[in-house]
Amino acid sequence: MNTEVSAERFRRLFADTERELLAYVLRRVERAEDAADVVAETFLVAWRRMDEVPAGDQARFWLYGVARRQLANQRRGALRRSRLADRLRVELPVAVAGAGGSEDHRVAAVRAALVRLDEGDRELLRLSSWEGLAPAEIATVMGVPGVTVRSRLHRARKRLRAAVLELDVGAPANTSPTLVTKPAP
Amino acid sequence: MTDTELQSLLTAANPLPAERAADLRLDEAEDHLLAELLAGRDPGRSASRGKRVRRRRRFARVALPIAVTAVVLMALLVLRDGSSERASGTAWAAEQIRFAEASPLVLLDAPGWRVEYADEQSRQEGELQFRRGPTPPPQDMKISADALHGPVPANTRLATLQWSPGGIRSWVKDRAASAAMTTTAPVLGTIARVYQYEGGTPSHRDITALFRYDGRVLEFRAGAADIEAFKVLLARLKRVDTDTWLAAMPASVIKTVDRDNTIRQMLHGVPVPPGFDPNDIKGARLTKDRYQLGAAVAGTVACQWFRHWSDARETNDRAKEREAVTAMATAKDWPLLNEMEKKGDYPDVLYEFAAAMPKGDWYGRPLTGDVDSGLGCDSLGVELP
Repeated sequence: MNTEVSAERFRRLFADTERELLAYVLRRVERAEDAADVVAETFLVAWRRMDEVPAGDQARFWLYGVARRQLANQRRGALRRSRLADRLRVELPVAVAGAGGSEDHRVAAVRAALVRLDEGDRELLRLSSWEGLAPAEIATVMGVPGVTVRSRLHRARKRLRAAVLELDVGAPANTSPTLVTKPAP
Repeated sequence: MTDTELQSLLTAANPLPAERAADLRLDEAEDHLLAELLAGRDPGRSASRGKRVRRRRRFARVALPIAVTAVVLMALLVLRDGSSERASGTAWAAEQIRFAEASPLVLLDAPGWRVEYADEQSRQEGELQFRRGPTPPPQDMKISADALHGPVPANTRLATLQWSPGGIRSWVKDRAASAAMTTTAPVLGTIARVYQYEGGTPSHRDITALFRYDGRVLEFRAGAADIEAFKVLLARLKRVDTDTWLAAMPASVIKTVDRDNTIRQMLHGVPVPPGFDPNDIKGARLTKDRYQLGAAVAGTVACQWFRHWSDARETNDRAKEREAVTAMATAKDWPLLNEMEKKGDYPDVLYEFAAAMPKGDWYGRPLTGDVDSGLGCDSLGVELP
């Protein structure tokens, strides 16, 4: 692909998807600044492999898939700090300060129940509810056959309900939800 | 617990809802990341020493041409700003160039259309108004959203292009809520969401398009016979170079070189509060249409008088309070406001607040609160209690 065309396409891809992708990552990291490296690495992969990035909306789900792998690297400690993200890393904790979900104890119980689920179930539920993805789109992101996503989603919801009921929904949850507001050390 | 309840709780458990994410103030950091990616592809990581050295060299290879380009660009800016008359006879001041480059550099490249009005509300937000056909007499072209986008004479058409930072979601939500019809259309290499508002006439529908471009949100709004006609117009938006963009600006845009003189003229016949300094007029350094610059000048004077008045009332300083009331009572005679009356409603709003000053309240509420929002004192850098 011609470099200029590729750059223009990358610029559009970044403009159209970066904020959404950043939000996706922020919902899954312990510290807001960690999201900067994941997003930077994700777009670095896209920039290097523009020829492989699918056209249209599929590009978005392709990026989610890349980000998902970068998140896994980040959790393993295998994602190093990228200079690309220096500024974003500094500004993210300030920008997201005060962000956070409802303090309702039932919501806290759902968060605690989510933590009890295995990663596959948890990610299915988050992609569906937080990212608003349809089953076919989730299939692309998770790299699983489309037909299996609906049934797995159904089972994940069932397990979530059971986990919520196991917790005392009348009491404050005793498990921390995913944080996006923790300040930098 | 029903499925619906569980789903609702799960949605509420989202630690960063989409609307909140869309409003995060990270545009500059994101633009920086994009620029870094495009410039260096991989400028290196904080890795082991050996890798760091190797990558630094690779970064230097990329950085050097960028630095050379920057020097050449700076030289061009100095030449333009300091001396040269360009071939077209127009000297672009550095501030105009900055304005242009802070904009998306997009024009409506359609036969008969011209830029009629330009305004930069901040370094990241601005608006262009395009017109086809003759400019109507002043009494027919008051600057307000309804006047701009309501039915207009058949021989003239209006369109506006606004740009702003941040995410597109809150815009989409807002526009979609008032739309009678929604579709999509290609523009500038991307896809816009297009909304046709309710009402209008068979020859004039109010239609708007939202899209992200160059890291910001753009909205193009125009009156058109139908969505297809609107799409044709939308497709004529075109990215241009800085020179072309600046050359398209109308004469009413105040040039930097004229600005201080223009402000001095605007203040003629306007009583200013003690300590007033024209250099403190916030936003005056941004490129302004004459009407917008006038609003910044008159608004700053008025807001400072209201501040003076409010301070006086707090300390029971009757003489100081009278001074402010007397000064604002002359507002209807300020030549600047008399000129602006023909183009917009800002003077009328200001007159109403001035008239309420002796009584000191606004329909039972503290006057300063409404003055602040009505005249935009906060955005003009004047803090009112």
